Amino acid sequence: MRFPIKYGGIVIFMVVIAVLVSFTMAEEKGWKTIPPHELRQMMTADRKPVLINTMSFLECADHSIPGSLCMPAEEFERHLPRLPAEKDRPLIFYCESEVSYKSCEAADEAMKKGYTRVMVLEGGLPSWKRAGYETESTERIPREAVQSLKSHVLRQWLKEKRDFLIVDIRPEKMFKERHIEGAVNIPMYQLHLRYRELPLNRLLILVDNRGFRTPLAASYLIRKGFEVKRLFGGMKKWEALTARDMTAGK
Amino acid sequence: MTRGWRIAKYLSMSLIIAGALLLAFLQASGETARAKVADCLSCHDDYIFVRQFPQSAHGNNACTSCHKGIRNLERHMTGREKPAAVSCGDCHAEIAREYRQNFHNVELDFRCSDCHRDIHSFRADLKNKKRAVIEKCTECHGNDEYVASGHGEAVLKGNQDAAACSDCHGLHSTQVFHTSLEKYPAEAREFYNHKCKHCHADPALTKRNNLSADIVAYYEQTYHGKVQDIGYPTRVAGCADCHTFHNILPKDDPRSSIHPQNLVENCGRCHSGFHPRFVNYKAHPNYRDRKNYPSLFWTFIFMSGLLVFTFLFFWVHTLLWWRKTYWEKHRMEKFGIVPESTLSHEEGLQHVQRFSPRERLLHVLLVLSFFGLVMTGFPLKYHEAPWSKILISLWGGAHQAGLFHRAAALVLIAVFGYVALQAFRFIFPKGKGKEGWLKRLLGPDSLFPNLKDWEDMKGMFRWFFDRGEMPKFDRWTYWEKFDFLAVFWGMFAIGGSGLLLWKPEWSSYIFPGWILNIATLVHSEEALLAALFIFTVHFFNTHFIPNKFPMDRIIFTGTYRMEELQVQRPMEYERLVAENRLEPLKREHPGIPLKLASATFGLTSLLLGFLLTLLIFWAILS
Repeated sequence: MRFPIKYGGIVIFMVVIAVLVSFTMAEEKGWKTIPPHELRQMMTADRKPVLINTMSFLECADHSIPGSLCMPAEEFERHLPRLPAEKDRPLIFYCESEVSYKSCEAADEAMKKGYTRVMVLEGGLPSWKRAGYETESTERIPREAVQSLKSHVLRQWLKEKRDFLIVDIRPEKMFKERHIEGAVNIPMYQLHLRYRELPLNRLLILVDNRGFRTPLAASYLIRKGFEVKRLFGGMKKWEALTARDMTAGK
Repeated sequence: MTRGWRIAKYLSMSLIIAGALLLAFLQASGETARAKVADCLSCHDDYIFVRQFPQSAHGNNACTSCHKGIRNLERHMTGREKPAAVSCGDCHAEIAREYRQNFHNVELDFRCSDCHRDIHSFRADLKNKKRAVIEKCTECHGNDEYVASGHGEAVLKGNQDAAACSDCHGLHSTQVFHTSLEKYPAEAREFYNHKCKHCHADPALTKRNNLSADIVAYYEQTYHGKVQDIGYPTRVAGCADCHTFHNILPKDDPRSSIHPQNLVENCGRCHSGFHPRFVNYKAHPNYRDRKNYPSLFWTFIFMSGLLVFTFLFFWVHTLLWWRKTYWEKHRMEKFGIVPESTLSHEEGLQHVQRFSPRERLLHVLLVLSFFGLVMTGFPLKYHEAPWSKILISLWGGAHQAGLFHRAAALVLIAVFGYVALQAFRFIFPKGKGKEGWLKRLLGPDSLFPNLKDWEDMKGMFRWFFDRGEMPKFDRWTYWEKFDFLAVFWGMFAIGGSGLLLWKPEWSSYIFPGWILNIATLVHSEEALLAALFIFTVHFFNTHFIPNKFPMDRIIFTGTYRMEELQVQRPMEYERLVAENRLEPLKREHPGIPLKLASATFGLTSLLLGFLLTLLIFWAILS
C-alpha cells in the first residue's frame, strides 16, 4: 500500500516540532549539579571555577568556601556585572540549604545570561562541611547565647499581648505570602544595611523559614546592642502549629 | 671488682646523667613556656587570663599552644600579625571528628568557642557533668518542659542515671535530625527510640532507679513496638509520640501526657474518631502479670494451653501414624509383598468424584488467602527474626503488608461465609426445613463429629500399637472433621480479633481499649496455632504420610480411583453401592493439564509451607 504523501508532510512537520521542543526543554535546565569532592578537585585545576555564595553578605563574610564571590540570590541581577566576562568559565553556585533553592534560582539566571558551564553544589554548603572541607571567615560574627522560643510560647505571648516586635528576616516574597501578624520584614540580605530601623528599647523576636538563619542574625543584632530572641523552627514550625490549631478548632 | 659490677656502675651513672638532662630540659621548656605566657600577659593582663586561666582545665598550656602562628612578637604587638584561628581538634581530634557532622556545625556554623565561650576559665566538673551540659544547652534552648520533667528534675537532684540533653541528642555529635528539618523523620524516630530503649532496657540502671527493666520488651510485644521495630517508623507510635519529647513525667502527674485525663488528647494526636474508652488500651502490658493484667494473663494461659494440648495430641498422633505406616511399608518391602488390588483392574481404575469443582476452587482460594495472611502477618509476629525484615520488604513495607493482609482476610472471610452457608443448607436443606436435621448433622455425610469418630480414633490408636486393624472409615475421618471444624473456632478467634483490630478506633464503640490487647494476643497465638497446624499436622495427615508422599492431588483434581475409595473409605463405598449412588459420581481420568497444574500448585504450596515452618521454628527457638 502506498503511503499517502499529504499525511507524510504532517508527520515530518510534527517530528521536527517535537525535536525542537525537546531541545528547548533540555536547554531550559542547562546547569548541572556537582558533588563536593568533584568541586574540590576542580579547585586545584589550572582553570579555577568561580564560586558564588548566594546567601546574604553577613552569612558570606561569616563562612564561605574560600575564594567565593558573595551574590545574594534576592538581588542577583544587581551583582551580575561581577561575573567573569568569559561565558565558558565554570560557575559554581551554592547556598546553605540542602535543596539549594537560592543557588538553583541564581544558576537559572546565569544560564539566561549565556554562561555555558553553570553548576550547583550538590547539598549546598552543609554537604561541603560534612565532607570535611575548609571554609573561610572574612568577618566572623561570634555566636551569642540567643534564647529560642517555641511556637506555642510565642502564641501564648501574642495572646498575652506582651511587648515585643517580630522581625521576619525571610525574603520579601515569602513574607508577602504569609507572615505572623504584626511582624515587620527586614530580609537577611538587607539586615546589615537596615538594622538601624529596629527599636533598641523593645525585645525583638527573629523569625526565619526553618530556624537556621536566626542564630547568626540574632548574634549580629545582639552585638549591635539589641535585645533579641528567636523563634525555634521558624515559620515551618509556626505554620505546623497553626495548622494543628485549625484542625483542633482552637 | 668484677666485670658485672663495672657494667652496673656505668649503667646507673648513665641513667642518672640522662635523668638530670631530661629534668633540665623540662625545666628549660617550662621556663620557656612561662616566659612566653609572661610575654602574652604583659599586654593581655585581664583578670581572666592572669588569674582564672592558670586554674582552668587548660591551665598547663601556654597561650601559644592554642593561639599559634605568631612569629614576630613586635609585629603582633603593632597589630600587623594576628594568630591563626584556634584549632581545638589538634588535641581533641575525636571530638572534632564527631563535631564535623554535628547539626550546629553543618547548618549553623557554630565553632567550638561559640558554645565554649568560657574556655579560658573552664574547669571540668566531672561529678556534675550532666548539670553542666543542661546549663550549657539551655543558654539557647530555654526548654522549660525538660527542666520540669522527670529526667531534668532527677539530674538537678544529682541523679547521674537520668537523661541530660546530651544523653539523647549527643554532646558533640548532635545529629542533623532537626525537628524543623523534616527530611529525616524515619531516621530521627529510629534514633530517638533507640536512645530511650538504651537506658530503659538496661537492667542495672532501671533497678537502681526503681523502674521496670522489661517495659521496652513489653512495648515491643505490642503492635506499635513490632511495627516500629520492623521498620515502619513514620506512622506508628514510638516512645516520644506518647511520652512527648521533653515533658516526660510519671502518669500520676497531671502535667504528664500519659496522665489519664490527658490520654484522649494524647492518643488523639495519631488516632481519630474513637470512643473515649479507646484509651484504656495498654501500651506496654505484661501478660504474665496476673495481678495487674488478669484478663490478659488468663487469655495468655488459655491460648498457651490450647496450643500445647492441640500440638501435643496431634504431633503424637502424627508420629505414631508415621511409625506404623513406615514400619509396615518396610516389612512389605522386605518380604516383597505388593499390595493387592481389591477390585478388578478395570473397575479399580475408574475415577470417582470426591470434591466438586466449586469445593476445589474454594480450597485454592483458601490456600492463597492463608499463605497471604501468614506471609504478611508473621513478619510482624516475629519482628525480631532476621527474616522478618526481608519478608516485609517483599510486600513494600509493613503498611502495604497490612493492606495485603486485610485483602487476604476478606477472601478468607468470603470463603468461610460461603462454606458456613453450605453447611447450614446441608443441615437444613430447602424444602425439608428442620425435619430430620439431627440425623443429617450426625449422619455419615456430615462433617460434624459423632460416636463413630470416637470409636475410629480409639481404633487408630490400637492400630498404631499393632493391636488391631485400621478402622473402616466412612466419608470423613475424624482428623478431617477436626480440620474442618477447627476453622470455625479459628475464624471466631482469629477473624473476630482481626476484625476488632482492623479499625481499632471503631471497635472502641463496642469494647474498651484493653480488649484490643486481648485481641492482639488471641490473633497472634491463634495464627501460630493455625499456621503450624496446617503446615505440620494437616500436611502430614493428608500429604506426607508414606503412602501418599509427596502429595495427594485429590483436592485439586477432585477425583480418585475407585480402588482408593474402597481402601480409604470402605464404609462410604459400601453405602454408595447399597444406595445406588456410585454411578453418578463416576468421572473421566483427569487430563494431563489438570494433573500438572494440581501438582505444581500443590507442591509449591507444600514447599512454601515447609519453608515457613522452618522460619517459624527458627524465630521461636532463637
